[in-house]
Amino acid sequence: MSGALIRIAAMALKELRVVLLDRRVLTTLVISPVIQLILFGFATTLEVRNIDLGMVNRDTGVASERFVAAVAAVANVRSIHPYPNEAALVEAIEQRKVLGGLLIPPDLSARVERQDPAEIGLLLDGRRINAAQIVSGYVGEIAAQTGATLRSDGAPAAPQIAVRHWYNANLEFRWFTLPGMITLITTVLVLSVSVQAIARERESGTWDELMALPMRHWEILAGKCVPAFCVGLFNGGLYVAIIPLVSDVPFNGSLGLMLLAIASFSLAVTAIGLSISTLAQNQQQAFLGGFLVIVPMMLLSGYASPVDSMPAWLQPAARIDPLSHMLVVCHGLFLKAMPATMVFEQIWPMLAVAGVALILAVGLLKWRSE
Amino acid sequence: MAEAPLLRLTDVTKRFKGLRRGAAPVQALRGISLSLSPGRSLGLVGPDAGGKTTLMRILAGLVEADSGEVEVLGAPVALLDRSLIGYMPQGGALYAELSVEQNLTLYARLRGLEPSENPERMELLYRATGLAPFMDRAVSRLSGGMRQKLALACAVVAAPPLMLLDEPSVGVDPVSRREIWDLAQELAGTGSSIVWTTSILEDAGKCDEVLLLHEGRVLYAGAPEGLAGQASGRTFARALPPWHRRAALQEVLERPDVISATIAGSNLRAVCRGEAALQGEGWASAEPSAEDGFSLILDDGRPLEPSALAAAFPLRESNPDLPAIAAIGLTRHYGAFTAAQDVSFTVHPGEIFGLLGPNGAGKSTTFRMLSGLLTPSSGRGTVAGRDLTTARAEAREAMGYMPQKFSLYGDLSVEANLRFVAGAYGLKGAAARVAVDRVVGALALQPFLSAMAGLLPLGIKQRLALGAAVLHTPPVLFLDEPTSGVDPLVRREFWHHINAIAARGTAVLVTTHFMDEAENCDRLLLINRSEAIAQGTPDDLKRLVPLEHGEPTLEQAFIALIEAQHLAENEAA
Amino acid sequence: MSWRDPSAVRRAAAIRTKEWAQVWRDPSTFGLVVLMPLILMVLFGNAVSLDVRGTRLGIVDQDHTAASRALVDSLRHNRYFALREGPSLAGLEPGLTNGTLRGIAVIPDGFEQGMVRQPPRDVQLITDGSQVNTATFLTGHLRGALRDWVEARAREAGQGGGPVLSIVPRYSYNPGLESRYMLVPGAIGIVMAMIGSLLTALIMAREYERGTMEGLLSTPVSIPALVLSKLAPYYVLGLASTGICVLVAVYGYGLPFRGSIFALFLIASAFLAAVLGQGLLISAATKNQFVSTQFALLSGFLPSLLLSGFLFEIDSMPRAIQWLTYIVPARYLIPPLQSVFLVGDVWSLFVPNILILCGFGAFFFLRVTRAIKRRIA
Repeated sequence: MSGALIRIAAMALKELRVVLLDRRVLTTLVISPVIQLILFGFATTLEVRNIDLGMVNRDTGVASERFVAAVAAVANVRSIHPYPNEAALVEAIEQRKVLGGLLIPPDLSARVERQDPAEIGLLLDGRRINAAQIVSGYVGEIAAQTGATLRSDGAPAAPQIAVRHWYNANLEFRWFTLPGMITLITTVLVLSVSVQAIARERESGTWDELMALPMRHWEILAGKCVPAFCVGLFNGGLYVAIIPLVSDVPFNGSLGLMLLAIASFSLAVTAIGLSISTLAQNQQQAFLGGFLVIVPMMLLSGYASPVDSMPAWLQPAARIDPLSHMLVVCHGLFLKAMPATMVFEQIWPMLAVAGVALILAVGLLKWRSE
Repeated sequence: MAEAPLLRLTDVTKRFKGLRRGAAPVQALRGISLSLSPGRSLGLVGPDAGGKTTLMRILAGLVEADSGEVEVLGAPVALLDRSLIGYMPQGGALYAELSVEQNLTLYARLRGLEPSENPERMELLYRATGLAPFMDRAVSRLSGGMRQKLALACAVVAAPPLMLLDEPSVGVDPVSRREIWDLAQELAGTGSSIVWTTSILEDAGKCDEVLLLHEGRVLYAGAPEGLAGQASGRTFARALPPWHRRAALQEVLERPDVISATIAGSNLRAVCRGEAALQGEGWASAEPSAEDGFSLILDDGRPLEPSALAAAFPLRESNPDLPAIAAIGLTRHYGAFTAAQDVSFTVHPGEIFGLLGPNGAGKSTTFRMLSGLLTPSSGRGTVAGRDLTTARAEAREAMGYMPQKFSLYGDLSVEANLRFVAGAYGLKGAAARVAVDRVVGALALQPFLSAMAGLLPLGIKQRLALGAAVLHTPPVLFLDEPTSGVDPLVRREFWHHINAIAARGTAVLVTTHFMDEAENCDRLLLINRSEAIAQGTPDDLKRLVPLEHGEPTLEQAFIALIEAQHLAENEAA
Repeated sequence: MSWRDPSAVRRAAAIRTKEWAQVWRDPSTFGLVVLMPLILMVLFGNAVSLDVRGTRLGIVDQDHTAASRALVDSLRHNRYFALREGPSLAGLEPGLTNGTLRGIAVIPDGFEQGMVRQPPRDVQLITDGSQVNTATFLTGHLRGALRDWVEARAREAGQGGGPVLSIVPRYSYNPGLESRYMLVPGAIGIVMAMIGSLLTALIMAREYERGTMEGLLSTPVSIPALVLSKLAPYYVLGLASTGICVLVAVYGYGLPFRGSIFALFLIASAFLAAVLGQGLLISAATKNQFVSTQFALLSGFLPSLLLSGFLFEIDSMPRAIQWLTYIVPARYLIPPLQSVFLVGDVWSLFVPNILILCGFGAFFFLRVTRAIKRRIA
């Protein structure tokens, strides 16, 4: 057995040298991911801020005045431009100068005066559907509130929703994105390293030499796991250290559990990458193959949109995606102080994926080296 | 007024950055001056890392000299009209996944020759190179000789006035090697000039002029005959006894007054140092060759020491009942094509067994089946008594393997490569260090220890590959063209090691294209057209050929046996 | 180099032919060109959806009255929620921690009484704040659901009680609020960015790695011709991929295509010029396939996904990052691309964006020709 260990260690050391000795590789593996983490972590927000709206106001009364003032007072609304008519507003939307516009009818104040239901048109840019919906929600809420203050019939007050947001009381978006980015960036790095492991040998003609050495297939793969795994563990750990430094995102959970989860996750992604690598004839194929799985894994992870909203036939695919489990752990340990039992519930599936993918890789390697 | 010279270099120097950060710069050329008249050919020879490739790249305008003047075709090289040169980089610049035709068409059109408008020229190229039947075959599936011919054709496709060919005859069998030379002459057309680098002095001898480069300096410039003349009076030969040929060679080689010795047919030849002369035992003066002159010029004055590589090998007893290598009816089919048909032989401990044959004959296929890289379609092979089909990893532990193409890691240092291979053979810690140090010392790899293996000159790569194969002192050694691309002095050294290793009881299976190396083997197997056509000692093989003008050389026997098979097959068909 | 020189034109053609031959020989290229658009279209058409539905909501009814039962029932039939009822807040809390619940609503004791006798008692909602977007949507949806339920109840009871002021939103270009309308054009941008920067990131580096660059450089081919000829096949492949995407978008997902093919062609060409140049520059500068793919991923694909404004509003980003988006070519692609599908030919929007993209292309091209010197290291 010690012979196998020596061989695996030799392979691992060689792979680490190949991957890490090039200074440019080191740059792409350490510095740029950190920049990405921060850049994208702060950039990706589904919040809508700095909204520019348009308005065609035909009403001169008090109701429209109060309503518009209330809309303008919303922190996320940057400006409200008046337009002379609807056509001008439509053109402004078309050219993306404003996200949408209020169309206030001439009889608004009069109707409110009479306590008749009054409607305000809101024209929104359907190309930016997410922002548009959120704005529609804001404006609807303001209309209801303004309406209530203008009401004089003394109808009974209705119950409201009193909301508290746990783990992230102010719903800061970066509290979601920064921990989530750990998963995404680690995936990209680990997969792009592991996917080259076998393909590089084939392309550069070193495969023959390797096959003539007394190494078993599983020993080769075990050695080749090491660099990608280390890259994942190192980068993942680095991000966990950096995030609390560069932002106000707290880390509430156990660091040991976090590292354990990162290790399991890196292993799973490494194993997937190795399976692809055994099939590739050259680096281009390996890279493109890796890419063919990176994108679906990212989109199914639940980061871009919740798994619950996906169609039922896609949800099982999301459940075997190691990213979906790692995301739960990242958010859980950063924000929720997730207990160990719950973390392990997410770690087992990742290890299962790793095991299956490694067995598959050994099988494929045997098959391909005949 | 005299015609402007084709090439004129005045005091050209070039240094490169060190291969690692902080390393001292490498002085590749230290003041080269030369002049070549139109229509003349120039052979560039010299030890590896002597500056040959750098000089070629300077001539092709791919590397800029640091100082000195470079004029090519009568103009400074910066203004060179590239359509007037045909440059073949080392190993060729072929697209392996594309077909022969696609490669040749690409280079033809890049060099301004439209294939459809010049059908005669294209036909000539295909016919002369013998590639016509393989036009649609991917380059990756061509044999080494075919590939070199194609690379040559790509370089000279437009019959340029100046051809720059960097090692065009590496790894090519003797017949094809001669063909490549003739091919270059034929394809170039009249009035063209060739500059050709080679590690084979015999090839350089065909050029009008020879330039010997060593450590960036010119050590000899002039006619090839002059190179041989350097060794006149210092070359001796004597007849060899039919047995213990290698022992006799080793003995001469280790004499302090001998620079180099080789087996040539039934003779032993030696070049002597200084005023020493070999006398008695049948020694007589011999006609010097260019190779002898080369050895003499590059002699460092140090006698060859007993091989430190071999000293580490344990002494292994020969057991006639247990062959070290056994091939039993090895056959390999690729679809309808049979790459090797029913090849059988055995190699005993302490024996050097040579596989000979033209490029593409099936040598490599046989070799790869025996080293466990290729599963035979039928038949089986054993190495050190371990079956390759059932105990592949165990069999591999017992062998050292040096592939034909450099297959170590180009982006790792020499030291890292050796460390890896040592570990892969299960050598750990101190044992690995000792093994690596031994190989580095014995093969003079010290100066290159931290250099990236991929950037090394061909000959140094071969040394590294040999070192990697013997790190774990295996009982069986597989060497696939170990000396292709290394200069004559290193070739002598390699064989000195191989002979000494075999003398310790290691079985060596070797392929080679050099007949003097084949003479060094105990037994030979000649493979052609996928079949074993002759087996026996070098003398046995020579005896298979009818004697017309005395004893044939091994090369003549080789050619005659191949032709006999072709004749027989054609008659059968 | 003169384009009137027939041999220069031939040399360029020879390289183009060679690139095509290499593309044909390697099936992985077609995998990227055909498979990737299809996978992305399926995923962006199905997996990614910005309308949050089926959110797992825990509910605790402490009131146990007819009113509270009625409210729970109405929530159960609401498509925005997947309801799980629990006896107490404490019993449901772990679900919030392990992510099986995104929120817990508590209908307080005295809920029904409060509605009748005033003041009303509010429904408590606790959300999983780690999922910011889901929490926001959950809050909004629950508010709306409660308001609707109160109004419906008032109408049944014969009371007027409707809101005095309300909003009638209209979504131009996308009245059905299909998030596909927004995502699918974005996905096309991603496909183009990938084919552009990733495939080309490999092609120059490969020539260096395999030693064929030495052969090419020793021939009379000029460097601009070499660069342009190498790009040509990938430009065509990029357009082909775009075509596949557009077909899937229009015939598979029923997206309108209100602009002209010509406008789409111009937009796609300008964007491809920029990203192909970007990939080639990376490739020529790094001379190493692994490093160049890393750079291409990190500087090409991810910014196109995250900083182009297709998923995440640029206006909402921090100011410094907003400035940074100006150097992301995809930023200039997404608005015209969305418009050509949903609005029509808005040339006043297209022309400036196309010009900027062409500027990127020209810049990268100049840098590439300077990066490839006729020198072998």
